[in-house]
Amino acid sequence: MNDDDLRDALQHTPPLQTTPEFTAALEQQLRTTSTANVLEPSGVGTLNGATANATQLIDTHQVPMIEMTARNIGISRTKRRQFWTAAIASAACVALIVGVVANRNQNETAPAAGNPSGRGTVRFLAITTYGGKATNRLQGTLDFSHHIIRFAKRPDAIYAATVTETVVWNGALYSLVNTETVVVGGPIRNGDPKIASVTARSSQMQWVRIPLPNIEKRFRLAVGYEAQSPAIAVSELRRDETRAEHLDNRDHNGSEASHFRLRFPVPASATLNATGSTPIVVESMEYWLNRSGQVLEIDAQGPRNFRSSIVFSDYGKPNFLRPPAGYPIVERGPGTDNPHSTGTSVPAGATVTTSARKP
Amino acid sequence: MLSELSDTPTEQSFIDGYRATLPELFGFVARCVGGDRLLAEDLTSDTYLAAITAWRDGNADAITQPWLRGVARHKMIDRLRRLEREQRKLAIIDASNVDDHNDTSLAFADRDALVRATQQLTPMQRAVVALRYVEDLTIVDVAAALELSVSAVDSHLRRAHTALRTILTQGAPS
Repeated sequence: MNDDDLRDALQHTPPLQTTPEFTAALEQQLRTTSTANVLEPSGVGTLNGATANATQLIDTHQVPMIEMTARNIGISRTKRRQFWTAAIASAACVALIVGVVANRNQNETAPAAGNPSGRGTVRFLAITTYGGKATNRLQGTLDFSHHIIRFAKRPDAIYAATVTETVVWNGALYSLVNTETVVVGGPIRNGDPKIASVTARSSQMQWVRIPLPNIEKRFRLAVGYEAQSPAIAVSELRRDETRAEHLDNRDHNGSEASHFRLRFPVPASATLNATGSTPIVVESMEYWLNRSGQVLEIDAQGPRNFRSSIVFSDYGKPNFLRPPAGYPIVERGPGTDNPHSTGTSVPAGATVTTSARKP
Repeated sequence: MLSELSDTPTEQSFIDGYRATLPELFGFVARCVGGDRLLAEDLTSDTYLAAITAWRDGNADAITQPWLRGVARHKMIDRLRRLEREQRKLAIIDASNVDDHNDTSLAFADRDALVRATQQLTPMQRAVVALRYVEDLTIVDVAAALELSVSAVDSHLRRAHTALRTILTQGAPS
């Protein structure tokens, strides 16, 4: 075998022919990107019964990145955009939940429907891997005032979600969920938040309650909510062998345990979904908190080494809150599989038991 | 020239141009990647997506068949280079496998088998082989395209020949 053999073989072997499926699929993609300014692969991230519907508004500049990412994780072509969408939906969902938890003001004014009480913005970095092969890095800000996620690389693209408010209270997560899909208008240009371009179908707002076993106690211990000082809380946690496997500490600045890690299982209803794709069940989640109880990072893990990690910064407020009154509460999680069951309204300050209600 | 893509900047003109140029571009890309259909489809998609980006930016006139081939080539190089980096982390190349391809001559029996065998080369070897034998570039031009030294390109070529001989005789590279 010499150079001529190779050249002859590579140049004169009958070339592969494109398949009709590939030709049609690529043509459709080209038509979409040529006629519209955006592509809109929509995905749904469901976490603990709270659904975030992330509508991607991306232009052609992002398509190669999407394709490249999908290729690297070794999934079929037809699933690529769906996976990417699901990853974004997951990031959006988790980011919203944690971000709102961390950022909400302690002043428990009941939010009006479509006007959540979250204030300002928080930066985030979401890293998603799948199959141990690829890493997606999403960086941006959450604008709580307008339910908008803004990714750093695409400041003119916006993402909206149906989860508008989430709090951790009395051993459970409470998410204020709009049961209707949020509809997003055109892209925002020049960094100007032209909210007029965003239209959201308002519908019934309800609190979805997700029991988290022992989470309240862990949170309180971790942030010194009940202990006399954070140091005592740390020592208490370290003595507890059961909790020890769920707890770790970080030391970023040489000081003892300035950050904490809490891990807890999520209910079976926690899935990561995209239109037409197989749901990815989120198997466990970790929260990283600082001494003030602010969530700095959340990691979600799933099968095939699925991992979504969201890091937050720019916090301002503690997050021990209770759900405001005025909305019905729906319980979700183990033993409660009816997302549309009507719960009871809870007045501000009322005690809600942590046990899950059987359907 | 790809007149279908550049005459009138309408969606239909672009699609017509796409239909007209796809078979040739796909065939070219498939040859470059040794008949790896999935990889060829990926690179072809990336190329046309780059084309439509240029088209939307008002650069329809620049989109010609050579332009498409050039984009495809760069995308192939980028892809294979990335794969090379990944594989480099996973395996240590056994220098003992390298010898001089001019010393031995393998009877070339099956052209298709040889093309398929190129898929088992390392990513950088695939890039070098594609540029050298599909694009017919000189070693100096290959070195420039891959931002390698001439000696490095020559080394990759020799190793590729060795690996191909091994694959064709033993079924898998050692």
